[in-house]
Amino acid sequence: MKPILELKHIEKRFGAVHALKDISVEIREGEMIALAGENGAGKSTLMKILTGAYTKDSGEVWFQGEKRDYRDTVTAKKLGIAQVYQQAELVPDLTVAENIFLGEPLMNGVVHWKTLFERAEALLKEYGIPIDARVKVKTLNVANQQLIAVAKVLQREPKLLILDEPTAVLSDQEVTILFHLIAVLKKKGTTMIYISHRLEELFRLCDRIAIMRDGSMITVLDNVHLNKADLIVHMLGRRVDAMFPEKSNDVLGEVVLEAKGVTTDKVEGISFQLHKGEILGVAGLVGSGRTEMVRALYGLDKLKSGSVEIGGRPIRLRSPADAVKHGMFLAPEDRKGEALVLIRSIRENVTLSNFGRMAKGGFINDQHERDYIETLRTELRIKADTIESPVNTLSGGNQQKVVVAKAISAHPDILIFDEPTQGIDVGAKSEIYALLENLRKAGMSILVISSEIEEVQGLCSRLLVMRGGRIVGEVNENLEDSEHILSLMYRSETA
Amino acid sequence: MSEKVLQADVPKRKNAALSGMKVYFKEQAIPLIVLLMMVIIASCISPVFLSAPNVSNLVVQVALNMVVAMGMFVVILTGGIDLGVGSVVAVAGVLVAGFMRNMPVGVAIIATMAICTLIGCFNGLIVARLRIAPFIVTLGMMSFARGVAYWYTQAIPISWTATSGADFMYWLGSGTIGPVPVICLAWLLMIAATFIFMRFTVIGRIMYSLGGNEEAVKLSGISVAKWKVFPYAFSAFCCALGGILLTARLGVGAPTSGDGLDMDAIASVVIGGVSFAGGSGSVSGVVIGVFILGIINNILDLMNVPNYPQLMLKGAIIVVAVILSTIRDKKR
Repeated sequence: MKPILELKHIEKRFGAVHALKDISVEIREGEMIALAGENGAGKSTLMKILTGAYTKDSGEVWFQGEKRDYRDTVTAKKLGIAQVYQQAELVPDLTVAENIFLGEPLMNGVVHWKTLFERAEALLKEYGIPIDARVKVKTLNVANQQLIAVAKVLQREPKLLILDEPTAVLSDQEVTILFHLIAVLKKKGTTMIYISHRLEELFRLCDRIAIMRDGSMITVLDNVHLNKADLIVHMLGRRVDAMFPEKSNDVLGEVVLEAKGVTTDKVEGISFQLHKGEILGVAGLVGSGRTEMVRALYGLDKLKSGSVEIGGRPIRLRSPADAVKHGMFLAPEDRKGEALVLIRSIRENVTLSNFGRMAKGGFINDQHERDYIETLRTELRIKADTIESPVNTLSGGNQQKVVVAKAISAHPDILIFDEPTQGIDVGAKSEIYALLENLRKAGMSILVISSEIEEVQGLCSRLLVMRGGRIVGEVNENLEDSEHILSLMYRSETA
Repeated sequence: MSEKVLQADVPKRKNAALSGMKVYFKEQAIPLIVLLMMVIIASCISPVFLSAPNVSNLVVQVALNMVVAMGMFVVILTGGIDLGVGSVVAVAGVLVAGFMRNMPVGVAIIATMAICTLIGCFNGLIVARLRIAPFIVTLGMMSFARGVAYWYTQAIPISWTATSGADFMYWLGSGTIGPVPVICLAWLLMIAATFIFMRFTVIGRIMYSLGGNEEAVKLSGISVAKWKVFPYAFSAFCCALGGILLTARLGVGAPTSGDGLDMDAIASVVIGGVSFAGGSGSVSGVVIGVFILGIINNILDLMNVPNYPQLMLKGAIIVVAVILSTIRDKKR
């Protein structure tokens, strides 16, 4: 099969960082190729060069047999190279149809509403996306918004489609829709580059897997010649012995956090106990009320009824400041919007969670701060020039590690971690798991919320399942029984 | 591009202080170069520009804007804006002169500072608690405070020259310590205080973070509703100081004073490289910005350009500065 895209000796540097080292790869017409690699391996940088968002330092890009030397996103778009981004960039107040065709001739000048909705509905139907074209985007949940972001790109009928972590914010239900959509695209002969940290997806979907490490292209292998263990070895350049730390069957300690019938606008009758030195998991689909439950516990949403008790005493929760005062800390799901101050440095972000540790009488002890954060950076292997680097210059996984560093620095009694490994690669994942286990052993009580069932299964000794804003089940034993957990997560209200 | 290559050649283990300096110059490059160019151009246009009398005139001229810009800096840094600074300066100016007629000068100054800071707290509380846009709140305060100044004086400037504190006020406004005007020392102190505050204290760190991402600060367990009051209170405090210095300089507290100061303060802050989006900028940048604007005013005066074209020019400069800073933010 002839190649649709050839990359020859691509080089890219950012300051002292050599981001891409002599990358050469051929992508065949109509194939689906996976791009695998750790955070900061250079996957996103390479894709940004393809879409024209970054300019390469040297090397050649050949598209459909012609050498192309574009330096802007418009040319790439015209060529038929399109990318679906991790973060959906949609206009919340416009309808689904308007969002899909925004920037296209159909939405210029006088809008023909009838044609617009017809075309949008036809598109959604063709790709099997069960979303009404006439609803406003802000009424959709994150997962559905992500699907609309995909549809927006498909409308242009791209020749080469780049999917960068499309499933990161999707729960299994939407993932099925996405995979169906990918199947339709395959049938149409669209070439696709697929990036995901969920390795099972790569094996399931892709024809070949290209593996990057530290800015170099390590190898490109046919799917059939590869198993998961080998892939991980290629990606990391070393072996990961066990994904999850060994569980110890300690007897549960005293109750540190208890929710008694917590009810807000979004969740109802949430009751559970968190013990000292325990990792309690919360599983549930996107929109099941997981995040809303956390918001209630952390003083972000007003309680309509019920109470939260810490150490057996009910506490007043008017704001996160109250929650923190009582020894809680939340590492939120939305890294960019809620967890980090992107334009400030690693140092400033980490210190934000605990000024008490770094400051005396209101003055920050510079040396102490630097030493502490330098240690954390080494320990967590955060890839950055220095601790002064603004967080938005880091790759997604390294940003997540800064969130972890923030949580460690806060050193709470009760840590609530919403999606602890979101957008993080395998190597970093097992590191974070080990770290959570260590914190637990040190006596911290941890609430882990995750949309990946394996994560809560591997990490927790007990887990709660949420659906429709309620806790619908607690699993104490046989955590390996995915089917049971899944059935709790999915069972419809009427059944 | 060449800059990036250069950086790559520097050995990894570089001196922290040195690298800090480098980062600083890189960030402040544009304002610094502009300032330097202004000085060169100004001294070419007018031989008087670098003479001792004019320089000492300049450092006195910039005083009011310098002090007020420090407050404006912190407000803009947190993503807000304070349009009421000119009016609060007027309030401070007339209050201190008025108070001096029946109190000792020290008490008059402290009372004025306290009242103005309360005005700022009021602004801040409305912005932080009720979540009203700072633009609207301070626009209201602009009109309200100006009204207060006129009402208190019945539109007639209040003189302090016949009061018991006249000696001190005269020293404050026109005295010197050695060759340095007292008023110049006052703004130097204010810069130092702001710098230390913003660079070394927890409050400063919170201000920067608030401008960068308020939600992240809130979720870190810091009371945003409380800390968001600070910039407005600080701004009003700076205005109070500015108003007192101005009254000391002029001999009267005039309800018309501080007119157009909002523009100057905002312009200096933006020219100094502080992002309107909040979260980035430095005290030294603002100082440079104030001087750039001060030199423009100074040289136009030396060239006998009338006031109206000066205003036009100032407006154009602000827009250009914002365009430049937007381009820079995009590049990041």
